[in-house]
Amino acid sequence: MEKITKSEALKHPNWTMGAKITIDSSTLMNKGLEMIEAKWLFDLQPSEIEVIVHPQSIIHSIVQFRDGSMKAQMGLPDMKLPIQYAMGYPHRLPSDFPRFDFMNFPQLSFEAADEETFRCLGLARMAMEKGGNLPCIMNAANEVAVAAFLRDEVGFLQMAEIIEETMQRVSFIKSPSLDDYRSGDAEARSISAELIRKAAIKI
Amino acid sequence: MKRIAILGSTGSIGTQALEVIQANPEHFHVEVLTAYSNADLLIQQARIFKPNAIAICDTAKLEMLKDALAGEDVKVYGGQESIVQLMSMDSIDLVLTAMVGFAGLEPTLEAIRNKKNIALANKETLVVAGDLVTKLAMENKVSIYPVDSEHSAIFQCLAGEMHNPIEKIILTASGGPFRGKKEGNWKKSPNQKR
Repeated sequence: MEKITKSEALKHPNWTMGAKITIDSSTLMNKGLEMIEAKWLFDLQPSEIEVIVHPQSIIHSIVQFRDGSMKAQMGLPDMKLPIQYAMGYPHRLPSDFPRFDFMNFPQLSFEAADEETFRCLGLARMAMEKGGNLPCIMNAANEVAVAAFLRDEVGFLQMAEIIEETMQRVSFIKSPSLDDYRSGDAEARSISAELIRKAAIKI
Repeated sequence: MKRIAILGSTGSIGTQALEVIQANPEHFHVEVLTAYSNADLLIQQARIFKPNAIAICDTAKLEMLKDALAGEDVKVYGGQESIVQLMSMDSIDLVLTAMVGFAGLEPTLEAIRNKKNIALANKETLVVAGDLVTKLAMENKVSIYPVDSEHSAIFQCLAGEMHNPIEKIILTASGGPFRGKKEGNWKKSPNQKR
């Protein structure tokens, strides 16, 4: 896996997206960022947030209520739909986007996420659980690592290493101010850039 | 008619949002467009959608932008700071935050301070400072509508469930292009050996 190139990582099976999020999807960091995003958007505890792999990207996510009932939202993967819903809310505007047909997807499948191989997901869960400025630090290191990967300066597996090392090095703040976030972001960027510089020399 | 500011209009989400707007001209008007550095596309978009103001983060492109749009009725600004400042315009109803990364934080905070509802496509804003952003949104009675497909799904599932506690949510992941691959012979990077 360390030989994975950026052109392979930029080929997402279902979604057409920008370069940064496509690389984040290939490392599963995107799902990690989404866990943290969900925690804040829906006021959840980390233990209330699960991730499951669903290769067809038809079921877009699921909520389970206290009676055990689950609601899922589904459709073809097309970003225009959630964009239109967010802009048009509370109205559902008509669209001519392609419709989902069950006969084209006779099987929807699900499997556990492999956090051992895709270490970014575990790093994000740790950041979410610990909170404070750790998600900010992780995010900065990830932005720097992804940019370096896109410039062919680091390998695929090294991205998680750079992020983890940066998370260990920047001092932890439990209740950061906006200025703490700004300086945490800057410090994490300079540390991860330094790690990349050292790594690049040895390649 | 909602008057919309799109931050990151030349990116993947930004261009798709403009397609949605183009298909629904009776519902949406483009008020502001901003981009990081893609001046050519921003110029095209400004000519088609006739926003009130545009801004480009990369100030090296500002003159080119101004020259190209000299004949158009549009205000043209440059620099990250100008993007933040545009968020206080009275004529904006909704801000679509579709720029990449930490750069989304400051303009999003400024938009919330000015009581603009947010269509959030920049997840990094909440990852970095979710506590401050959600608190500020609450204080200003601002709604944050998710654009990520997963969060939009959860948001849609929660319609009509306001008084019902969530037991858990399950985010689905495609697994990306390397699903099923194993690490194999993991190679430690030089910096970890020290």
